[in-house]
Amino acid sequence: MTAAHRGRVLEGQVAIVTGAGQGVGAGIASALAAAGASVVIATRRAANGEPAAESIRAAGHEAAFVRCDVTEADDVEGTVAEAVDRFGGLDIMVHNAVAHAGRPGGVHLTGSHRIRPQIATATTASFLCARASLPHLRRRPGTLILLTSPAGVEGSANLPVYAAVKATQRGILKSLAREWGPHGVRVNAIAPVARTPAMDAAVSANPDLETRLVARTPLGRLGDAAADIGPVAVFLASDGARYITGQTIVADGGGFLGL
Amino acid sequence: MSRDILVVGGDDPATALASELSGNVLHVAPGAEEVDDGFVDGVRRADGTAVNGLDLVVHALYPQQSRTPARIDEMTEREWAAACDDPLEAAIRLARGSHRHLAARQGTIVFCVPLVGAAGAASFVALSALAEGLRVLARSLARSWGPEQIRAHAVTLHPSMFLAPEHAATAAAATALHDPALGRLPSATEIAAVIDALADDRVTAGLTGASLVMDGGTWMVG
Repeated sequence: MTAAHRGRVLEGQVAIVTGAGQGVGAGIASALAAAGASVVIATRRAANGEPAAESIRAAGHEAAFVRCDVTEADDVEGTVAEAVDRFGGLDIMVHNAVAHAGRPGGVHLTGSHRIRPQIATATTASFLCARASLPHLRRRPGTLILLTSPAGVEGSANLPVYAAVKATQRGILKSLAREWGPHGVRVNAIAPVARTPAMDAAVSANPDLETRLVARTPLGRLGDAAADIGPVAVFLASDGARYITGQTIVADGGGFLGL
Repeated sequence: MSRDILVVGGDDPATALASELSGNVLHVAPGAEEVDDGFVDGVRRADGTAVNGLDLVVHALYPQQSRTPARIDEMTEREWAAACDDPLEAAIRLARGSHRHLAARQGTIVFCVPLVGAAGAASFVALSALAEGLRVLARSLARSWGPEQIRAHAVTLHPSMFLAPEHAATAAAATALHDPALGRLPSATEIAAVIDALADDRVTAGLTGASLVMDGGTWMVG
């Protein structure tokens, strides 16, 4: 094995990552690609999806952008078909895309128009991604990874709808793990806390936020999407995790210890 | 003074609990699509008067689509929405509409959720998603409404409280549940007594955000 191929535990595998134009999704996509997977960047906007794919290709890995609104069944099924056509199959489906939660506040203060899009992007889209990918994941057998949140476990005073929809993904993964286990298809989730453009925007609106988050984090810093969260997805997709299913890995520097 | 209680949901466990809770119980069984932000304001007592303050809201609104087993690869988008997305939105909107009524009484909201959410069950993915969403919604409400002394809890119940007997057997097998340690499941009377206690300031004024599993000792994981 050459140094360039060392650590390429996903060599020859094919992955789709939704919402991979920036932030945690982009970090996971680049980590999967660096581990040897061919990666489809599935985002609504080419403006961030195409550069994310180009950045992976520039690093010497294989990636393609496919436009995908994860709330639309035809888009999700089309993205899966495109991945299979282009790269020959599907081993890893990562659903990371998330809708804007709006201004922080109690559930009675959440903008009415913010409720259904959050359900659609987290809950409905998890169903659509699972349904579309199953026929291909069964053949390999492959794995489904959902991006949830610590808020989806412990709740959130200021993002109650976000917390609820992230919790639905934990319900989905536990039942799907039981439903798909006999096919050898594994289903897990990652609950990350990482510095992302969305986090940066929240911090600029509320400068104390970062201080408070770091103060509750034993490791004393916010995660990095590529260096801290990406490798968790690589592990869950790899053969090293072949006996792990139905689990949520909280990758938050130790901030939440309640599982 | 007798407590004003709103129970939302058709079939069991809502129906059974509505007849066992202690107080002036208003029991309504809307479809999920009928619950909007103004739903609670629109509820009328038997004498035609509107609700004006609530001591306890009990949510157990689960459409038949949620209660029917289906493999995820056999579900249509419409079936998924009816089983999970629509009732989740209804619960969020019920909470929004309940806020001012609960604030007026420093009341309590309780979500009754099936154990399949915490434990997972093949063929009940939509119900599991809905249950976990509601369990964490209760925690979020507890966190954000705590300063107003509104309390919020989830009470997790055995699948047989929600499902027809043949489906409950399917769910219990799909969840790989143990037999209840007590040798039986709790009755609706026993469950209602716990919910009454959760809304009783003399007993639980210092308790909020709890996720109680009341299943006779079937599931004992955090």
